[in-house]
Amino acid sequence: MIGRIISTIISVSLSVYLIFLTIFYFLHENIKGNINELNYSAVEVVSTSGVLTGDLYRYLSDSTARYGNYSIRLKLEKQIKAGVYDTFFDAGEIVGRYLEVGDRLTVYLEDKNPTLFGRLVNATLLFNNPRHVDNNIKSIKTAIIARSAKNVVRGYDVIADIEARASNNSFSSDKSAIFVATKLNPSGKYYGLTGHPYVAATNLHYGDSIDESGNTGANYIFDYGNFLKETECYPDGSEKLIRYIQQ
Amino acid sequence: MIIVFMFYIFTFIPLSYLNITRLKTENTKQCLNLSVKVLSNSILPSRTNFSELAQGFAGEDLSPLEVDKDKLMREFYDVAAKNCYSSKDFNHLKEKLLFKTIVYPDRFFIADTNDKWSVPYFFTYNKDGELLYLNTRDDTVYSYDSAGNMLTWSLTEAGISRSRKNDLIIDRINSILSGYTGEPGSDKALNIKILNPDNNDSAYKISYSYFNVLEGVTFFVVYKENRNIDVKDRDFRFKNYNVAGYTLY
Repeated sequence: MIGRIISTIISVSLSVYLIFLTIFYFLHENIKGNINELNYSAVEVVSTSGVLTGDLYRYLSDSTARYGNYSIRLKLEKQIKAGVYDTFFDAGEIVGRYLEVGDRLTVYLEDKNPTLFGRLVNATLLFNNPRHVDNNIKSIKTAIIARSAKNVVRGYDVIADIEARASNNSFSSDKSAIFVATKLNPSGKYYGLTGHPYVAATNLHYGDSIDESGNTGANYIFDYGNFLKETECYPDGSEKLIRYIQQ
Repeated sequence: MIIVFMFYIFTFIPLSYLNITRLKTENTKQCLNLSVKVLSNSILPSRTNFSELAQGFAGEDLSPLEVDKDKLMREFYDVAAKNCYSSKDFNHLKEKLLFKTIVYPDRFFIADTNDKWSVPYFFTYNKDGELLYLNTRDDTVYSYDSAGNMLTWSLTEAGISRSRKNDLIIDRINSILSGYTGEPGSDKALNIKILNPDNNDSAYKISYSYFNVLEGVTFFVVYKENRNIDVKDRDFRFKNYNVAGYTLY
């Protein structure tokens, strides 16, 4: 009698265990697929847009949070020249940064906690404590940037723009001016004519002052530096100020 | 209890197998989609296209881009390896890639499983014994006379409609590729559904809208994995075919 009771208890327990194991396994696999898909979608967008925006990063973070406690790790390989890369790991330096063709972004997602399936597999069963199996969900995707972010220009474009406007008299008190912010001088420098709402003193040319010369000049524009171009317009649509902010 | 166990085993194992296959198929597709984008980083900078850009040419006035094939292969495998979870997965992926193709406006190249690039295959059409060279950029056709001089005509003069020209180019691509996709001992080969942009039939557009190589320069790869499982006298076939490409305009 007692044997039959024990046998029934073991059979029922084992059946319940197997049923839960099956259900949790398929849940685990579906979550794995969804996390992979989310990761892929994010890097695909970055690959074709050239920037991992704050919104996209938040979307990735919020979407993965529905499935568990996920950590997001980023790696940016910024191409200096063919085969030579600068590597960044800090999300603060990567999110919102304008990327160029050839740069590579890797997004790694990892669940900090095991899923129900993982817990069940690693649970003690009938006094048998199995060896820990690391089956936390992970996903890694690497994308090469196929299109540069819009509105990113090189330093030589900035210099050319200043000189072109100076030579064809595009700078005027009631029209356009240029603002350039470099890494060494984030508060920037204006190019244009006095009388323009933003320009305190007339400054039409680049390279005619000490702060614009040599590699150490605070307002020196590196030929191959990346500058984000933003345009502010008057109500009639004409250009008021072109901002170049070094990235 | 035994019946429950048998039921469990016969449902759980095939279901989990199907699930794993589905995930692997999706992973393969995602990996290939991300890897083929290396095309944009493999343009030869020394070609005339860049000097023409500097001279102010744009759009159709520009010569077509030229791709650095060695760099393309290196970068493709590099990105693919990073998107595979292990070297075993990567080697498996590499093994199952039937070929890689670069399609230019007037010709295409194929790299076999050993990454050896073929000679260029031009988009030619034999009309009344005369070999005509077609291209996807414009509506001109050219041929060579017996003295080796190039003769150029418009499509209309050659008596070919634009839609017909596209069909000829698509057929030419598929006929060459079939030599790489056929199975040994079988006359069957893959036929890639390439969109003809000038075919306005709605049913056709729905069916063929996924893949277009007739605009710009395209790099695409074809992945083929067939697994056969014999259970008694039944043959179960799991097919995983993927075509992934990227086009530069």
